[in-house]
Amino acid sequence: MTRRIIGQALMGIIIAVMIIVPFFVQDEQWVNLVSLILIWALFAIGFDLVFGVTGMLSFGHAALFGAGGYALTILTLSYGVGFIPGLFAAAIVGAVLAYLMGLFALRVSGLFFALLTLALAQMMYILASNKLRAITGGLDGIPGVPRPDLFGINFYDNHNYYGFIVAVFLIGLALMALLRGSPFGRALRAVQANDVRAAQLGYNVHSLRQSAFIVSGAYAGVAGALLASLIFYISPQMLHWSTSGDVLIMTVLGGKGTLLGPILGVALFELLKEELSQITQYWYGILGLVFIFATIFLRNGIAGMFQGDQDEGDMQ
Amino acid sequence: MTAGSLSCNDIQVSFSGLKAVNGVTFDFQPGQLYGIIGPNGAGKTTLMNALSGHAKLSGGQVMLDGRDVTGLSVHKRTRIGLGRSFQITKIFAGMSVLENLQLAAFAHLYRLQPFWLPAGRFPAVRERAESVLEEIGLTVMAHRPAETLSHGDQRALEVGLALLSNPSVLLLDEPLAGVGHDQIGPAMELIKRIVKGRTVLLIEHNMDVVMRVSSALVVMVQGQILASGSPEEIRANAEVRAAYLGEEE
Amino acid sequence: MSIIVIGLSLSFLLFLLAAGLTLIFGMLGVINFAHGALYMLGAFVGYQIVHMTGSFWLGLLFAPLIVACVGALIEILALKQVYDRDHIFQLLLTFGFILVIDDATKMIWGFDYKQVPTPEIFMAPISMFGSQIPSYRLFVIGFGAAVSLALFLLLDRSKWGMIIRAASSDPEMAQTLGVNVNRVRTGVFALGAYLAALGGVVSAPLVPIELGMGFSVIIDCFVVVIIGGLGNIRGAILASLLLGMTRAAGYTYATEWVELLTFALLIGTLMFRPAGLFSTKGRSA
Repeated sequence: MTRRIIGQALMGIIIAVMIIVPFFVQDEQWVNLVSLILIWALFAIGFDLVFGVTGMLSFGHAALFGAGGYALTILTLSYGVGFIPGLFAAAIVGAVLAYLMGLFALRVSGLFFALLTLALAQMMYILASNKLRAITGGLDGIPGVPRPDLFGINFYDNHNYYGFIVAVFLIGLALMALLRGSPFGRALRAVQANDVRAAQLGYNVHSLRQSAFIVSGAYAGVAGALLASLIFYISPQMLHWSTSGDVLIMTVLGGKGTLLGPILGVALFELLKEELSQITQYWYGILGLVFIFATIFLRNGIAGMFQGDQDEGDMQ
Repeated sequence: MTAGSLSCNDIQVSFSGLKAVNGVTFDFQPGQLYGIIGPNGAGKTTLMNALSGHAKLSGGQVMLDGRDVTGLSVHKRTRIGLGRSFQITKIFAGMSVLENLQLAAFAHLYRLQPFWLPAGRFPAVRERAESVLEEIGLTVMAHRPAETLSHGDQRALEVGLALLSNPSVLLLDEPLAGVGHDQIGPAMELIKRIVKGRTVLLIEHNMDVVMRVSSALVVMVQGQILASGSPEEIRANAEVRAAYLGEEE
Repeated sequence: MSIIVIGLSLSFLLFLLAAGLTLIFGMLGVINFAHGALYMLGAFVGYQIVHMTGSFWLGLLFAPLIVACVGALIEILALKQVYDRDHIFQLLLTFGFILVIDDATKMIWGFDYKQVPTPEIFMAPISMFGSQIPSYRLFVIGFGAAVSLALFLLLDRSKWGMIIRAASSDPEMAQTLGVNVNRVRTGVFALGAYLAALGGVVSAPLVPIELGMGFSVIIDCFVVVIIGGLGNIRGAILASLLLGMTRAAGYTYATEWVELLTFALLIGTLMFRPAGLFSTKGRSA
């Protein structure tokens, strides 16, 4: 028990240091790297609510992520909507799309859920690349995604935008911590552990799964919007299945079912990518090997190392 | 005491053409304990699944307190007063005994699960969980991880989870399965204690136990009810002896 | 007429792949995400052999064997470690191998696409029913039919087939009967990889050999095994025919919509009949 608390405290400290350092370092590279990490971390903690907490493997989160990005881009560029309303809209679009995908995908479970979400997302990828070219800019994407316009601060300066990302990230993290510790969060864990029993206790399993997917969609939507704004660009590539794969790898590396683990997983992923891609162009394959090792030997990922539990702790 | 009447009207359940329950019609009276007996494969658990909503009916109706619940999902039946324990223990491993019961209490007390407060801050839930904890005699085990309990205690917790919603009808699927001889006495006491004021259906292979706790017996063979009546009547029924004892190994 | 030939050749190619996928599912209970990657690897190894020896037939003979060894290694080194856990972990591993195989392929063969020439004896088209039919397509149909038949005989009639079926349906029982379930699992995974690679080599003269070929084919395979019913070989052959013919017709009349239609087919089946169109079972996962 104490080992667990110390481990969590250590993870918290590492994450806090990672967040604070860029405020004091002038080097743009650090700011950009941590910006990227925090955005993907927001995506990953939302993804883990579905995967690690509720126990559903979604291979379709790329669609939610991309939809959020497109929502912000199109609303701000074509309809003159402000950034902040645009960001809220991204959350709503992500949530609504999750609801719609859920109408199809939640009819099945297990392996079939993974396949169905993959097919739905890949279909949206194809639509965005071809049929919806007029709106999405096709494979060329849309450049010039704006940044926030608030309090007269110049968010086109990467340091200032980093502050904005940190604020959104911390709000997202706090909300997720609350959600996971609440009776709702426990009910989701119950669904993962034993859905038959959960239903027998009187839980509406279907609507719990649906709620988790919708909340997760909102997180993905916001993260997608922040990423598009960070790199000033969006393309259907964000909806590609490999995006779903990336967030899955990050979450497994970090430790599924834990709050802080996925954040560290993202950090490791991005660091490896950053470092490896300077040495070799085959970094993704090496990452694949790391992922395979983590899956076999680290049941609860990095978080499991910190907490000292290598048992099948589905319900911590 | 009118709540707790359960009746089924010609219910059928089939698995890929095979009829596991084939036309069962019966009125379970409030406040009685029905022992459901029959050889393996007679359809006892399937009947229970049909009543609790786990198995889809291919025909017939289930009525709870005069209300047709045939199309209702499992969780809705729980909410209107149907409790159920399983043959294979389905407790939540990795959680403490108290947390298991709290989970059940949240489901019972809240239709929409609160998501804005930590789960620890609900005194009413804790109270409810603790009262059931006492009822099943596991108070001293409250903070033990559920999976570390002895088999008998796990079975008791399994029953406790079903009890928490204060069901008017309680379905118990072999609550004594795998319980050691020395534990059977206390387990039977528990069953007798929780039965008060409820309608209970009990599947149990230990005939000694069934005969002693049941107010009525229902004998199932090949998906149908062969006979029903008081334990004495059933004991004397030649047809039952032939069908039932003939297949007992 | 050419639609039928193209459709049939496509169907048999799909069947080779889907049969491997469905066999692995039946035995291991896992969807092998890396199946498409093994197919691609088969095509590249086939290319290499053809390139070095000048003989397509040597490629057809050896490339699948090499990939089968790779499959056996994957099973022994990785999958074997996680059989005692949830199936999700096995799926995660096969997903990880996509990344590894893709990049290994990139490292060995570079980024350019490769081509394998049509074997000499099938260069000339054949006139049939008043139209010119590429004779290699006819070979694919014949070859595919022969392999399918061999597979049926292996699974249905031979002692090995019996062992595989016993080990799939009840591993513990098979174990007590003296079957080495561990080795059967390895064997089945290798056989699946072999079939994937066989499909890769056979389709090599028909398509450009490139990195993306694995993913586009895996979706088609999913469609086939889902429609056919997971673990159901007979269903897979019917589903292959259905999808192959639909695709061939689609390419001719509505090229733009083929991909979307394929996905719609997959989604529809998953939603309404996840156990497969030809299954009598209802929805159960």
